[in-house]
Amino acid sequence: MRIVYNIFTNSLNLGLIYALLGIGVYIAYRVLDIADLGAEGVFPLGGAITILMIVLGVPPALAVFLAFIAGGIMGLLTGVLHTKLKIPSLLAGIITMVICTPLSQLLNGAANHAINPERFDTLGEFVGSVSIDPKTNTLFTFFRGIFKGWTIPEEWGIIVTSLLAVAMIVGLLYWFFGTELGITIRATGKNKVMSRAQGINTDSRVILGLVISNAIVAMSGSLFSQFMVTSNSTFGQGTIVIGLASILLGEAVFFFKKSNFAVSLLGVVVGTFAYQLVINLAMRVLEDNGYLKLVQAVLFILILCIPLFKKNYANLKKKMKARRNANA
Amino acid sequence: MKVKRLLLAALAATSMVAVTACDGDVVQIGILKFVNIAPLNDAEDGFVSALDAAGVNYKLTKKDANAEGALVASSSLTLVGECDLVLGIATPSASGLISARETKGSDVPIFFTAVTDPEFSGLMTDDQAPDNNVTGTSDMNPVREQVELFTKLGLEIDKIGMIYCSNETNSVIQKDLAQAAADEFDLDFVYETFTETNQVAAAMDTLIEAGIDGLYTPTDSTLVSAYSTVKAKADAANLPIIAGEEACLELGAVATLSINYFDLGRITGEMAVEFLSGKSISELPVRRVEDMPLILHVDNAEGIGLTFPAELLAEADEVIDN
Repeated sequence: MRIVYNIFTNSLNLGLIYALLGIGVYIAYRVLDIADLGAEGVFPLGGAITILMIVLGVPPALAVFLAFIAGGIMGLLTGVLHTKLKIPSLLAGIITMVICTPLSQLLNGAANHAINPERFDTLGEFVGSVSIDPKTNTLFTFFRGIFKGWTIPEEWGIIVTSLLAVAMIVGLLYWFFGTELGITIRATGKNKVMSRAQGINTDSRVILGLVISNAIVAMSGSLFSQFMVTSNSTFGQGTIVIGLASILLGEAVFFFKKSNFAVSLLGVVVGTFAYQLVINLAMRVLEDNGYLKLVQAVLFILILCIPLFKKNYANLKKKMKARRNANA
Repeated sequence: MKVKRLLLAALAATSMVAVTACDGDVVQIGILKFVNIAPLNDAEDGFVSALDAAGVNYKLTKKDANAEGALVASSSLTLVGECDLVLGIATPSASGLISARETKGSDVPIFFTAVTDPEFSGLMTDDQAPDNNVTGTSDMNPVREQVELFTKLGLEIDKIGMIYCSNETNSVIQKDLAQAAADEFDLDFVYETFTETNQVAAAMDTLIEAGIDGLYTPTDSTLVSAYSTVKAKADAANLPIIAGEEACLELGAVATLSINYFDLGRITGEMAVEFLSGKSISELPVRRVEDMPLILHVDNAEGIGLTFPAELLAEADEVIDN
């Protein structure tokens, strides 16, 4: 029972933190129709800012907000590179990603220096990773304390905190993408030429969309770093895969593709949870993580094929029905 | 329908695992390795060999994080939830396990190995008095003694250079130590960093233009993967390379005082055995490898026109000469 419980809570913990990443990637990939690789750099950057701010004594909620802003600035950079300087979006994202790594390392160096200025003279130096005391106040501390008081395992405090953050972002996005500005962003992603013909400034909409996307990715990185009480400039590795897989899993298995915006966002959240669940299950069954990458690859193929299976299944059913009708 | 089927599959898989995990008084040991590379594998083997030597009745669960933050997180959560003792190999694994233990509200003891400086990385506040149920072994190479080798080569060396990858926290620590050592031995010290291996050649050019007489390379896995570039540039300028680890001798360095990761893992395993036989973690301060042999590579030295002085050859524990 404990193993089932652990698999469930572990997937929920990481699933909800990565849900924000999934939503951020969703906005770039599905709403704007842009493959933005910048997320791999923005994710650890959000974490690095958060850890530095927490070390400096800034309230965790404000630290998350600052990470959110920093992510937005990196999104602005990708957007300007792509729309104004006409750099292909893939390359613009990569440039942002490359810039983020040394920035994260500088922030790590500053954090390390702030922890113990006498011993670690790392201000202005590039430091790969920095860990803080796991008892340090983070965004999760508040609800952990409450759940401790109720003698419920403290990790539910983390889950509830992340859940609230996800709910807030989903709510805000649902509202925003229903406003005139939001709708023009969605229109730009669907059909740029048509949108421009309608008098929409598509460049500014793409930039704004990327700002929102990257801000949410940085927020995800911020929560992840607080969860790990560590900032590491390599934390971004594999995040694009997690984001895309979650989006596809959410779309393919849990909801039909043609659904409204709120359902799509929820699909991403459920998708990230499902993806973590699958990874956690695979990890148990395989014992050694060595094969995990292969399983992930097979899983990817299966997820991507689900729409095809669905279509074939529907066709088959139609044929059977036609045959039955012919026989009758 | 589909959801139901998925759930059924999930339940089937978990029950399968649940059956295998129920054992009596076997010690459940979890190992989280950050990435699958030779030194970390050696440390893992060393750890297990110490358990075997002490006749511990254990069941091993091994995880490899593929150098991904996401996998460090999920593997850590999995291990601390169900093991009696966990080992983190390399700094990110160790810090992942510590945070996961906090999340899970568990009190499982955490051992680490292949961590250069546990205090710098924030794993503990005092490595001689572990207070957080965390202890292990450090793979800090003897940077000072390695830098000192420059003064024993029998060459006119006034200025040494160092090159490292800025992604590697451990290299930054070694840079500070090398700088201090260079001051101590009256050597000028310059360094260059890079983030990707394609920048190594340019960084080497900058060092050589700065007029260095010798090159120090730290234990840095990214640098090791670009060592042929380092070697080619150093050879062209007739620079002797002193390395932080033994593996670099095969790749072109002339001398090192080496660390054996198998021994390091074995020491960690012995500490774990001491813990299992009743000692508390606070009685097990962080340990290092004490015995570090001096190894010289004669062929590489000849390649740059260097003949080792007789005193150094006499001091060496191993001389590689093909």
